[in-house]
Amino acid sequence: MKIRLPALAVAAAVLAGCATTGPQYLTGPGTDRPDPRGETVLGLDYRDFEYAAEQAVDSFLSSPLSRKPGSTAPWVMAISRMVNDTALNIDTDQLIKKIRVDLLDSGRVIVTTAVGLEGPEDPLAAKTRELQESELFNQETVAQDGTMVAPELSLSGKIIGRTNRVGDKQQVDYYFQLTATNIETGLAYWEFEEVIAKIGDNERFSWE
Amino acid sequence: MLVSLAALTGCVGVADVQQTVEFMEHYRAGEFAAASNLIGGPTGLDYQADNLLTSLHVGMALRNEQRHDAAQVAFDRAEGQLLWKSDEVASVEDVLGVGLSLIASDLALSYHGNIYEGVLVNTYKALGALAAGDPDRARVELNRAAQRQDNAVDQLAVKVSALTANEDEDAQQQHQEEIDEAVAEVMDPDGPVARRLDAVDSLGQYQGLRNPFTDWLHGVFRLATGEANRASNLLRDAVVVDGRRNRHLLADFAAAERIAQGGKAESDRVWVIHEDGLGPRLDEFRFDIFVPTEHGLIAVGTALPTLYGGTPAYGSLTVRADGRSTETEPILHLDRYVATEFRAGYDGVVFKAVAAAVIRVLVQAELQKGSDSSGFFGALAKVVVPAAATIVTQADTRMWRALPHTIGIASLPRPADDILRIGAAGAPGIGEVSLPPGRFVIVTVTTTRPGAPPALNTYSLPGG
Repeated sequence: MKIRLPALAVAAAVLAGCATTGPQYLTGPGTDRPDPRGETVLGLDYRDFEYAAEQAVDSFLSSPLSRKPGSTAPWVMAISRMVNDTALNIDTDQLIKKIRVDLLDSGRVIVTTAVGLEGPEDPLAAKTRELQESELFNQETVAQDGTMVAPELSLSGKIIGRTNRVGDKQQVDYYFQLTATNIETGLAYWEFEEVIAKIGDNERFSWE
Repeated sequence: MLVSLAALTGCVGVADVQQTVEFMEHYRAGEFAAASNLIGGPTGLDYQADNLLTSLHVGMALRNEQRHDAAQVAFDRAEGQLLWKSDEVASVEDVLGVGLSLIASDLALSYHGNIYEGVLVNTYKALGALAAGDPDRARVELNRAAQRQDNAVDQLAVKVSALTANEDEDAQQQHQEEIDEAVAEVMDPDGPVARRLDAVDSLGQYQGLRNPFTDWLHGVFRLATGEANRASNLLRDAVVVDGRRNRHLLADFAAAERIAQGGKAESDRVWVIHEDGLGPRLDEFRFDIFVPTEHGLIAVGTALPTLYGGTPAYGSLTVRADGRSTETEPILHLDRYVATEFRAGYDGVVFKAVAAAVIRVLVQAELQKGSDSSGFFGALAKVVVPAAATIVTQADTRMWRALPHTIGIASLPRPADDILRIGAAGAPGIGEVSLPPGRFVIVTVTTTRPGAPPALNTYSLPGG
């Protein structure tokens, strides 16, 4: 349990009915889409990931290159490196999973789990090819070589955290940056950045 | 009441001091396994997890044993207990302790740590994450260390303010005149306290309480990950604080600048970090102050912590690779780093110690007169004076002792045969290091004293 040093002052404030306010949004989910809870944390919580993911998907779907030129088939996308450049121990899948779900629902993108930067996300698709040698399995039901679909787009990104002192408060800015690269050409087909800024007292670091 | 009495007897701090003495007997001899076992048993972690000082010490022993997972747990525990982002204390017990601290000793409180310790904890956690093959976690830890560095000046102001805070206002106001006189006497420019402060001042200071080693480590990490602009900024900060003394740092900075301006990417590289000797220590300095009372001047013993510089082992290392040799050069002097924070808060420490002594004498005198003995202050004094007479005159000499005297670095191309031969003056064969795969590798060498077994670790940076 942590108790502030001027305990008597805090106790007096509580008795007097003074409301204390926690960190607030400057930009992000608490501003253009007010959250009923009002307050936030200086770190990132589920609302921030949901908000950033929704903004990212809206941005992608409004891009003309979200539709494959000359085709009605969806893009096949691989997930590349997502860098957490904050002071928080966060799992970048909190952001990416939501984006994947919404993109799949849009019908314009399918994510491959057979290719990943550090190996396939789901190695079973490749592993099941070993059944081609097995007499136990009906070979008509075994996936054959040359059937997997290679990715056409690669999704990479970064979450950057920057903290600045503003008077007796601290402002923490989180930059959600995403890029979809056309793997054939190496050209960035889509770029996205969303900033979620929060301000709060300077009593704790954002990760505490 | 039980809590208050426990706090007054100061058993928390006294136990910390004793444990540190026993731990350091092993640590300075390079007996890192014995040192961690002494505190945390075979796992190294079987100790009271909320004890900050213990976590700091055992974390260092474990990393030197290459037990990086356990070391990370110890440093995680330490980070969870570190204060000084703000004016917070850790528990109800601490609040009671603070409330009584003009009369009780700081030894009655749990160890709160220092700002520089927070920076170093995250720096060591970054190295530990690299050892575990987790560069993403290393980046988070380096970002935390950077935030702590950026916030250090503000934190230091809060800390100094807290040290000089007037917690026993009534008692102090009642005896303000006597306290002021005693403080003036103690701080006399020709007196023993001033002489000791001159010695601390001679250790130097780091402007803004900024640690150039942490900035350098962060900088080379960013250099390895291809973020040359960020690397350049961090290395520039280190160059400024270091005063452009370290040739290896200057070379790394020049490389980052060159790449940031579109130059050729960095070639494969090895960075050697040498943690040499043992860092500064606090000892107790006892002296008498004279308090005017109705019965004349009464001498009362009091005590203050005094900072003494650490001791080197070899000073630097010679690193041989590909038929060439280079010397490590210091980038962080722990004496200077610790002295920066110690000196900033020392006036508050002196004031508190003197005020406590004066109040104690005057309360005793009032008790003898039989006056005011029924009030809160008299009742408190009846408890405090007899029970804590010894502990209140003990200085708080706790600090993270398992830090090196200096941290030196060398920056060199990765040798074709992947072998580094490391020696020092009087110890040519400190170690032969077979480098792990990777374009960028860090080697750490800890030498606590001449002749003690060194600890060597290797870490692969991302970007390979």
